[in-house]
Amino acid sequence: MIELRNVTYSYPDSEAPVLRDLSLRLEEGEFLLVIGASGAGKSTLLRCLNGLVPHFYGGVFQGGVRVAGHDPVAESPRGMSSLVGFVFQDPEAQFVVDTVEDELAFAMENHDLPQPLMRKRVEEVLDQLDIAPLRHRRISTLSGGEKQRVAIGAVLTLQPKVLVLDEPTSQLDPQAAEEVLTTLQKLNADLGLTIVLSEHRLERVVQYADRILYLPGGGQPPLIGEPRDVLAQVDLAPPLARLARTLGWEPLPLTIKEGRRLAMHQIPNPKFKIQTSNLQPPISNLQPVIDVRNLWFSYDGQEALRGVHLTVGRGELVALMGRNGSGKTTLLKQIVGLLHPQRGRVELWGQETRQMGTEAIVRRVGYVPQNPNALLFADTLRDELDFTRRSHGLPPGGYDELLRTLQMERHINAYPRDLSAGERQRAALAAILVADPEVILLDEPTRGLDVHQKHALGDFLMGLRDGGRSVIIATHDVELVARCADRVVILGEGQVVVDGPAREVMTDSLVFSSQMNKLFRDDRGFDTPSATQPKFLTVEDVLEAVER
Amino acid sequence: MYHTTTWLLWLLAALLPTMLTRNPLYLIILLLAVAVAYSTIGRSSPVAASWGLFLRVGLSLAAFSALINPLTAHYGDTLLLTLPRLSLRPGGIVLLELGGRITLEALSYGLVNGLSLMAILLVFATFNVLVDHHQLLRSIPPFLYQTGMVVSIAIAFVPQMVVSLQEIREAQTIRGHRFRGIRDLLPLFMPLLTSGLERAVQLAESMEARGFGGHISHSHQKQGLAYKASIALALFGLLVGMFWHSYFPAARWVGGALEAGGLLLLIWTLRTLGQRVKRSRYRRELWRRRDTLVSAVSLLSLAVFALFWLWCRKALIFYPYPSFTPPTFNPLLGLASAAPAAPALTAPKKGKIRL
Repeated sequence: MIELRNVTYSYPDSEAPVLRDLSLRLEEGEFLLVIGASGAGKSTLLRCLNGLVPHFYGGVFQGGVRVAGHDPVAESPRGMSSLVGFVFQDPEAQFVVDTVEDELAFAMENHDLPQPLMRKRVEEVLDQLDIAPLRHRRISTLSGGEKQRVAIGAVLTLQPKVLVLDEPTSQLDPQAAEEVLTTLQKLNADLGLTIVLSEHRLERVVQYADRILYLPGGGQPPLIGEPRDVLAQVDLAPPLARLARTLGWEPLPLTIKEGRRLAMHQIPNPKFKIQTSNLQPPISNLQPVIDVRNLWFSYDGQEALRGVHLTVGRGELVALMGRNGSGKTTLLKQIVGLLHPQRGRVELWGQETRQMGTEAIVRRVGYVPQNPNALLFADTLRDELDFTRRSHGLPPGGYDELLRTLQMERHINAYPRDLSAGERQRAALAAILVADPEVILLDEPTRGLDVHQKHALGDFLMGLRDGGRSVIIATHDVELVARCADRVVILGEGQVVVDGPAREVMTDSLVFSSQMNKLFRDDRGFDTPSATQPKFLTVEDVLEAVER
Repeated sequence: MYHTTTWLLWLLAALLPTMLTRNPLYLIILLLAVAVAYSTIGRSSPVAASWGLFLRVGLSLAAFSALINPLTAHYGDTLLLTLPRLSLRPGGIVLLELGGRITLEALSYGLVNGLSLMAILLVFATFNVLVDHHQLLRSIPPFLYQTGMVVSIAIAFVPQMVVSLQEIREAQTIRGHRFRGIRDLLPLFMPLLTSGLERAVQLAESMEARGFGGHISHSHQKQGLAYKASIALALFGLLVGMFWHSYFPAARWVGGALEAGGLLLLIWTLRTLGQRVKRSRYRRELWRRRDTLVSAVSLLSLAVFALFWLWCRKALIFYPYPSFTPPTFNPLLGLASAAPAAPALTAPKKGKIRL
């Protein structure tokens, strides 16, 4: 179905090729997962399949590609559009018209299909993807998961042979991502559609893939094979695979179900016990820095926060979790004084934000917004950092240490927009932290980060906390929270639903628990079995217990 | 819920009276009719909120006009009251005189002006709320399809730009950025520009990957050259035609002929070019019986106003100077002014409405 022969490609104005001598064969109906660090060439490879590379981007292309017997390089993306359906990362930016039904028809209109056929196909796709109730909706009113399913539908109406998706879930919350991935699995299983998918969140998708292609980047040869074989070799593996590898479990488990069976078998009589030192000190001992009391806020009559209480102390790392639209971002904006309470109060160091004024607040509070692109504007990262320091009335320079910790020193003279997603995220972080704020608020900092970058981010945040900073991260990333948060606050419909030590909150939670927690979800090995007993969250927890 | 053509006819029928008559009675009837149309079927529109804004703008414009005219114009026979005078006369020439004689004529003239302004505004506001913009764009002729597409994408971009500007402004404020001068706009403008461009590139990719541009039947190089030449010729004809009017006002018909010829040639070329792009349309709007009804009413109203304007223009005119006479009322014209309410009468009952 798909064949790549010795493909080498470099973008215009770049010396090192992104893809080097890549060969690949894919059978019909296969589900290929493409993984790799950010910047390793995943998107580039996917764009070779419908000719966007090199037609849309230019650059130097060598080697041969055949997709369903056609050559994308010769036929151009337009010619390939009926064979290869392409879904992009950003659910916002790929829609052309305004309603769902018209969007589904757009590609068919371009192909001059007769109207009765279009009607039939639209009906079929609506049913196939289970989006019939959305057909008359405006796209701007859809949720992220719905948007991505519509985007898939919009390419399926041409009945392509191959569906290519470039990180379709990276901008979605876990529930929405699940929706999209289940849809893909169904299409693959029911229709035998060939699917090529690139994805960062391996734990969700490895189970569906027939094979994994690992692109290491940096000119090293790629790796392709069965999921188990590839995961046994690459270091991007999800927690379950990492644990299994460290403990030498065979065969490598891909799902929690397989993992639990192995865990029971391999460790029949475990002596697990969490040290009490791993549990956090009670919050009352900490000196309060942020104090939110009975906070209410609504946007144009739509209630976003409904009586939130939250106290965060000095040296605390708090994770703010909850569905999209549960009020996480609104709460962060309240704390930094961008929004003012309609009822209740927000205090920083015992003073109301309303009376402090934005300037006084931002001198001591740093806020990194969801979209790092909103911050970066200068020609180099150095200018970016100097700009922040100047705005705060600080002398330029003095950020070598910070850049080293963030592993960004070699990008100091780079144009920020040219950096990869993960690097841009860290550049934005650096641009805020360079003013050395006492309170740090991060909104979804893990978008587009791979496992290593996430770990580095977690370690960095823990370092800040140990230095006496207060950190709040709003995130969906369970593994990051498991790794570094002291406390978890879950918001639901603008209210604090749960507030407690991370280990307690995440233990036995259905949605907000880590892979390791799900793996050992029983009372074996505990002295006093109880439902609320704190349990393992990370691979390190488990390994520590096993070694003891 | 009505056909786009129906709405276009409705727009014409609602606009024509505002152009042809200054009679406040007809204008008031028209305003009420338009308001009825909005309140019965416009409220459920996604852009319904804009109507209130237009209404407020219209009201303040009307109030301004109704106030300023009697204060500045002092003609008319019927004196209402005399105010202290305030004059602006540099070098002995009277530029502006506020206050003084306030006449009924000037007041009514100002009121009618305001009313007519408000009617025009409200007609457009209501049309904007009622019509489906994308449907409207789709109903433009195929040779302008690409242009229509660009416009529709640009329209969709504006709200996104507003959102991202807000986001950027917040982000930079928190970073300690303060705006003191033009130079400080850079941190706002650059991210806006680059994110806008990135989005545009992504959209272009997405359109390309879905075969946008359709299947163009290949043409010979000669043919392509011929099209270019004919477009150039058409534009040249238009230009010469326009200049002709100012330089040779005596032989007007030559200029007119040149303009008409250029225009026809341009349309023909674009049309043939458009036909080379093979694309089909998914939606065919339904023409329901209520469309026929509303269109008929609109056409009738148009006819009534046009006929009166041609043969009985007096009935349309209301001019208060030099001495005030109450506006006349012709029942037929009154009825025709009420035509814009027709969509409200024939619309299906609430609950069955699907836009």
